[in-house]
Amino acid sequence: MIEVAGVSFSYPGLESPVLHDINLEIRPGEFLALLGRNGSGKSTFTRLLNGLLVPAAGDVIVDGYNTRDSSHRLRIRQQVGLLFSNPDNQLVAGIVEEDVAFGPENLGLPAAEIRERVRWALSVVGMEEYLKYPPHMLSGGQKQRVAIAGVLALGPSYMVLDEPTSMLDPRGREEVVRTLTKLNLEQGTAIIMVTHFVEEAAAADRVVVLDRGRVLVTGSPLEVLTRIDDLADWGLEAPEIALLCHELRKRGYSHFPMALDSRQVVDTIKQFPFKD
Amino acid sequence: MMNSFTFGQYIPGISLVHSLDPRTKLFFVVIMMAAIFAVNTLPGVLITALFTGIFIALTRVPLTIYFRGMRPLMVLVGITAAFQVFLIPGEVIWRWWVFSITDTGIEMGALMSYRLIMVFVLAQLLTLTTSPLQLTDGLEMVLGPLTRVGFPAHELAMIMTIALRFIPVFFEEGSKIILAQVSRGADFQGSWLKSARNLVAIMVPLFAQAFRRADDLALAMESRCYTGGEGRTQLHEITMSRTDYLVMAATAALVPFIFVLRT
Amino acid sequence: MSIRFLKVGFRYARGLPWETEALKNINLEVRKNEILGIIGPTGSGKTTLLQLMNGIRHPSEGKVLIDDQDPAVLKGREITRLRQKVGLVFQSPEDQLFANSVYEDIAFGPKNLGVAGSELDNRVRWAMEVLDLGFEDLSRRRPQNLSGGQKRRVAIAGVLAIKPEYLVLDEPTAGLDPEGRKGLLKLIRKLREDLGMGVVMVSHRLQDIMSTCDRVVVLEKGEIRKTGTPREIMRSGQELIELGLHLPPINMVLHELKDVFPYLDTAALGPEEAAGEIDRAIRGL
Repeated sequence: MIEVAGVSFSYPGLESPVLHDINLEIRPGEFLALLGRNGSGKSTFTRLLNGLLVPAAGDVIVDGYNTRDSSHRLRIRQQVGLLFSNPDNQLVAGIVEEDVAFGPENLGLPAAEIRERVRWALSVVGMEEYLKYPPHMLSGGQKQRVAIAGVLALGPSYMVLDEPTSMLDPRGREEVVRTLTKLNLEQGTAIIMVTHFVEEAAAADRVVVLDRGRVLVTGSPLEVLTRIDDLADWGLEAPEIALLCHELRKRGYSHFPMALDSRQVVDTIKQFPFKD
Repeated sequence: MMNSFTFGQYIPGISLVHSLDPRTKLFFVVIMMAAIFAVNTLPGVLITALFTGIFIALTRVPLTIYFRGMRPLMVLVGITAAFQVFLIPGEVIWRWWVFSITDTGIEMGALMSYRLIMVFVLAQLLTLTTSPLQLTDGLEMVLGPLTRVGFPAHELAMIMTIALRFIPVFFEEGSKIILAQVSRGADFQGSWLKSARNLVAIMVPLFAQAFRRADDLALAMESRCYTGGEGRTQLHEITMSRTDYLVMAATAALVPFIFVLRT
Repeated sequence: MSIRFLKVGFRYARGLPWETEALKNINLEVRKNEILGIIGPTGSGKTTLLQLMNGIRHPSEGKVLIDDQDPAVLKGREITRLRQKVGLVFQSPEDQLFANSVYEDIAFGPKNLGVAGSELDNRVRWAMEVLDLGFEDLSRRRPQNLSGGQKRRVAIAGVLAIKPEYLVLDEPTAGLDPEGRKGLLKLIRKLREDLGMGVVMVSHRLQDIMSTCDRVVVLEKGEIRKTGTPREIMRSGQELIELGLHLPPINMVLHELKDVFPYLDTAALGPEEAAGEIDRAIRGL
């Protein structure tokens, strides 16, 4: 479990704190989506989770280890993988397998074990055929999947992703979200994903909305993402499907169930009693 | 644009030379380069040429690739040879206005051209058959003993790895910025002053971008447990095989010949 | 007056083994006072098409005419003058900001064209005003210190300041947050409505294209597959899906309802229209 207890943070030179008194528990194996407009403190939050930044007040405790204690630093970074939005800026080596090996090499693992981890991580993200490719020959979505494999090869229990899809085209975005969902379900890796695409947050177990450095609300995607009027105040866009349900309710179908998934809306409409 | 420039590229293959340990290849190339600069007689030239020639044949890389990679560098060879031919004193063979050609000039010109060409050939032999990563790993191991006297062998190898990774990224970035500024009317055919100002419009964003990337990369590396070279292992452990020792021995055996073949 | 593509083809790396055909047989007209949207899967040739529009690239086959003039046969100052008619905004244009102040960066284009003095000042003020950038607040600021949405608008203002008659934008909203995106789309519509410019935009967000453009071109593998109004294009949902495009979720719903409501119009633009359409279908109208 990652416990975030009373955490505040401010960057040196800026008087207003970026985060105020954040309290949050991240459970092993959960899929958490973190939403918020630009400048809400989302990115800073991700960097506190693996100890790249240390809180000004409060504590971040990863499976019992406080990120303040520098002697646990490597253990924490290995437990909490962090992925950034620009795939190009986080691939270190000029060949896919060498890049994925970078983390395990840093841990000082024997070559046979590194090879095994590289093979495994690339197969989880579906990139095993690209072992010998240079990154610049890959699409954005593929590069980001290689970057995910690179973090995965460290064997983390938590994967924190800072807007992993913001620089990708729709296909790449779909590839990455599908990979993360699979990772969460099949490997049990907890996913903490920052995004401003509300549609992506619909896949999560829990949604947290940040604004001006504070947690505004936490809840299931269905609870949070259907609050049409509030979402606008938080600088977020309501999911289109939720808007459609909302519009249908306004047109007299006042019991139309709110939904986030197009499949579900289609089924509901098809089952309408007065369809014929 | 960059696709037509093949010097220094790696051509994957399964030849004997490809499979050699990078350290063996480094050893061979360094010894050969020294030998080529040491010899100054025809037999010396022939022996070093033969030795390199055998090696090139063993790489199984078509000769045309070597030639294509060297084409842009031939200008340099031409200029160097011309300097030698025209400026070295000796018995004059041919004279026109202030130019004169001497027999020693021709000899030295030919020798210098040979040396330069061989340096390029050897450099290509190394890069064509060794992946950038093997090369950096090899360098790190060769320079490893020097870390005890404070030489940053690991850091140097890391810098090389990252540089090689980002060269294609910068090429792409650079050509995009050039197109963008040109379409805002930047013009590189005009006066020097104007061109220099326009160059700023290309270099500043390129560097800004590079710094941003460097910043991100540092964070990403740190997040992936990087703490420097100590305690790091390698995916591909490089080990010397019997062939490696054989090649090294043969190369070493060349050394006494070089002394004999010097005048 | 328009930008016309006459049987245009384009190849990269001509004569080399890795030669690729990026565009073939493109016939297209970009008019003033119109917003033209270009959609297509990644690698369909959208960016190449845009770069042909202001003559920084020339076609391998056919002709591109800007107001009846062919940039491929012009030289020196004439080509600069012609290029000035078509402003090209690259993807993530904020990456190309270089000057120490917003003012200087926006002034770069007009200065290159020889504009100086009070005319230069007017141009910068005008471009900032059009893009909703407060002159007093922002002109002296360093571009690096602005928000993502502001940087993007400064970069576009830098192109607008050369006073083009056509503005061509490659993925103008990519990477912006919802507020930044909505704001920018509004400004793009303003360019046509208030200034009568011809605007071309590429986006992989079909919602943006449908809500903003007058006419849409669908590109695939370097060829034009379809041209029409946003509604006409959305009506052919199945085709778009087959081309590998991602329909907006709402149109996806309408599309899937088609087998129970065969007369349903799948072209709705936005949730409100879609709800109306579903309502009509349920009531059997």
